[in-house]
Amino acid sequence: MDEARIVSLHAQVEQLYEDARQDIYYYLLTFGIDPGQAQDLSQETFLRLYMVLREGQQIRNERAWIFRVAHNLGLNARASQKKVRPIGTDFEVPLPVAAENPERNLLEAERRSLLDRAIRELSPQQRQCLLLRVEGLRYQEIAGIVGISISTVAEFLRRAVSKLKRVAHE
Amino acid sequence: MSDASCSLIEDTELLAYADGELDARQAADIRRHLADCPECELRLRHLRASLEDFTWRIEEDKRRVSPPRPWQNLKPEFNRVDRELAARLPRAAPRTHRWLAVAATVLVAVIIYQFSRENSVSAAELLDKAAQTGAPTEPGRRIRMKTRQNVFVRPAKLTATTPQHAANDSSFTHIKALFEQARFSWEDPLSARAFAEWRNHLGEKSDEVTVLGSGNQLAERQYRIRTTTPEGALAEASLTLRANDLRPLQETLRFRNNEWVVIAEAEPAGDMPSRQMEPLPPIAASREDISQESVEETPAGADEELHVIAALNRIGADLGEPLEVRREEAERRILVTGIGIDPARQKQILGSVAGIPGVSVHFEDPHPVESPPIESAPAPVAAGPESPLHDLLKEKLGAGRPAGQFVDQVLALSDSALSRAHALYSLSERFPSEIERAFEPHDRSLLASIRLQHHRALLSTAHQLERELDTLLSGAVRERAPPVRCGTWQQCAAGLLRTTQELDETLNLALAGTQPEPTEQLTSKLGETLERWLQAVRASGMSSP
Repeated sequence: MDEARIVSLHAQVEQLYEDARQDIYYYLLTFGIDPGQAQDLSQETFLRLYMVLREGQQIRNERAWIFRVAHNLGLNARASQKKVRPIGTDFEVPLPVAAENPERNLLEAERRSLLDRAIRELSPQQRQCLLLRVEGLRYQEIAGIVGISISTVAEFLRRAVSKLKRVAHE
Repeated sequence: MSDASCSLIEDTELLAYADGELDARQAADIRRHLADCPECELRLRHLRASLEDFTWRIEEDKRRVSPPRPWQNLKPEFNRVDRELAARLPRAAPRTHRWLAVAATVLVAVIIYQFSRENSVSAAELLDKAAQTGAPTEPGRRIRMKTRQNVFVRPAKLTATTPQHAANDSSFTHIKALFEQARFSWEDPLSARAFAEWRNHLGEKSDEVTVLGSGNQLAERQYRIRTTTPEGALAEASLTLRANDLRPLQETLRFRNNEWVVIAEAEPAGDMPSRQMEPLPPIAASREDISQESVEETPAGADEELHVIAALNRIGADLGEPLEVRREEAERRILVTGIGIDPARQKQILGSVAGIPGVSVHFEDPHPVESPPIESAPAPVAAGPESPLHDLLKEKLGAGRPAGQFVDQVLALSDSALSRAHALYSLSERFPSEIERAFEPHDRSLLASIRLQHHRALLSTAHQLERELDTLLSGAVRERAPPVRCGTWQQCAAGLLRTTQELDETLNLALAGTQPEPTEQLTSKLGETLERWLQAVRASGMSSP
C-alpha cells in the first residue's frame, strides 16, 4: 500500500472515530459493561477497522461494520465479566429541568420519567434494535449485527414501539 | 390494499413503512390505504411519535454519558500497526502476529479495567483512602443523630475538652452505651476511621459498595459502603461518601436490638460562635416532631410510599402500566402520575389510593381518542425455517402442534417473567434493606406480601416455562445450577433481573434468531441459562433477615 493511500486511510478512520465513537461507546454500554471497559472497546473497534482496511479489505458500509464489531466485543466482554450490572439501569437520573416555566417543565419531567421507565423495560434485544435503528441502520444491517433474521428485527421493533407508544405524545 | 380492512395492516408493516423498509409497490399500497383510512393514519402518527420520543431521549442521554477518560488519540496506534506491517510484509510473516498485537492491546485494556474495578469495589481500600483524605477538619462541623425516639445535634468530633453535660440525659446515654457495646467510636461516629475500626475487628462480615447517582460530575456521585455482620451489637452499618473527596455524608447504624441511628451532617454552623461548640441537650421530641423529621430523611416517609405501591398492587397496576410513583421529599407527598390511562381505570386507581395521606394523583391523556393499546397476544414471530432450532422443534412437537404456537407461548412466558422480575427489582430499589428494617412490623409484612406475590407468580411462570422447554430439551444433558446465594432479597432481585434478561435473550436468539450455532450448542446453552434462572427465581423468595 503506498504512502498516500495510508495517509488517506488514517484520515478516513480518524474522521469516523471522531464522528461515531460516542455512538459506539453508548451502544456498548447497553451490554451492561463497565464504562471504562466500554471506552476501551470503543477504541479497539476503530483500531480493528483500521487494521482490516490496511489489509486491503473492502468494507461497503463502515458504520454497520463497526457496530457489528462492537456488538461482538460487547458480547464477549459481558460473557467474561463476573458481575454484570442489570441491563437497563441507566436512564435513572432525571435531567435538570429548566426554570422558565416550572409547571410545564414538571409535566415534561414526568413524561420523561415514564418514557425512561418504558425504555428500561425493553428487553436487551428490543433496545439494541431500536438503538441501531436510531443510528440510521437498515433492518438488514441490524439483523447482521445482532445475529437475527430481518423479520425478527421487525418483530422486536414492533414490540418495543408498542411498549413506548403508551407514553408517546403527539 | 385500499379496500382492505384496517386489521390487515399490522404494526410491523406500518413500522417498516415508516422506516422506509418496504419496496416501492408495497409502500404505494400502504400509502393508498392510509389516504382512505383515518384509523391507520392515526396509528402511523402514534408510531412515529413514539419513535421520535425514543430518538430524542437517546440523543439526550448520549450527550449526558461521557466516557470516564478523554478519548485516546489513535494516530500513534495506526503508526504502530503501520510499522509492524512494514517490518513484516517483506517476510510474509504469519497473520497471527498482528492478532497477537491486538490481543496484547486487549490484555492491557483488561488489566487496566480490572485494576480500576477492583479499586471501585473494595470497601477496605475505599475506607482506608477516605480515612486519609476525606476526614473533614473544620472545627464547627456538627452532626445530627436521629434515633427511634430522639434527635440530637452535637459536634461531629468530641474531644477531651468538649463539655459533656448532655451525656447525663438517659436517652443519650442509652445510645452511647450501644456504641460502646458495638465498639463503634462515639467520639467521631460520622467518619471513615470509625467505620473502618469497627469493621476491622469483625471476623465474619460481608461488604457491599454501591455507586449512587450517575451524573457526569464526580461531585454528583456517592459511594455507599454497607457492611453486615452476625457478630456484636451492631448488625449493619452503611456509610455514604461523596465521590470526589470521599467526605462522609451520612451513616446508618442498625443494632441487633432493633435500635437504629441515622447520622448526617447538620447545617453548617456558620452563624454559631465557636465557643458554643458544646453538645446541645437532646431534644425531647414529641411524636409530632419525630414524624415531621421523618418525612425529610430515611428511613420514614417510605411507609406511605409502600402503602401506595400496595394499593396499586391490589388492583394489578404495578406491572408495566404507565404509572409512576415518586416520593417528593420537599413537598412531603407521594406523587402518582399516569399517562394515557382510560377514564375507567383512572377511577379505579384514584379509588385504590384514596385514604392514604399525602398522596397526589395526576393523570395526563396524550391520546384522548384512543384507548391504550393492550397486547392481548403477541403477533406470531418468525419461527419458520429461519429458527435455528426449527428442525428440532418439528421433531419434538410432532404434527399436533405448530412450531409458531410453541415459540409464541414460550416468548410470552418470558415476557411475563421479565415484567415480574422488573417489578421485584423496582421494589428492591424503592425499599432497600435499611428502609425495610425501619418499617413497623405490619409494614414489613405488607412489603413481604407484595414481593412474595411476585415471587409466586414467577414460580408459576417458571414451572410453565420449564414444562414447555422440557419438550425441546428432553434428551439433552442438563446440569442443575448451584443455588444462588445473596444476603438479602434486594440483592437477589438484581441478580434475578439480570438472569431473566439473559434467559429472554437466549430464548429469542434460539427460537427466533438466525445464529448459525449448532443445535446441540444452542440447546445446551438454553438448558444452562434455564437452570441458572430457575435458581435465581427460587432465591427471590428468600425471607428477610
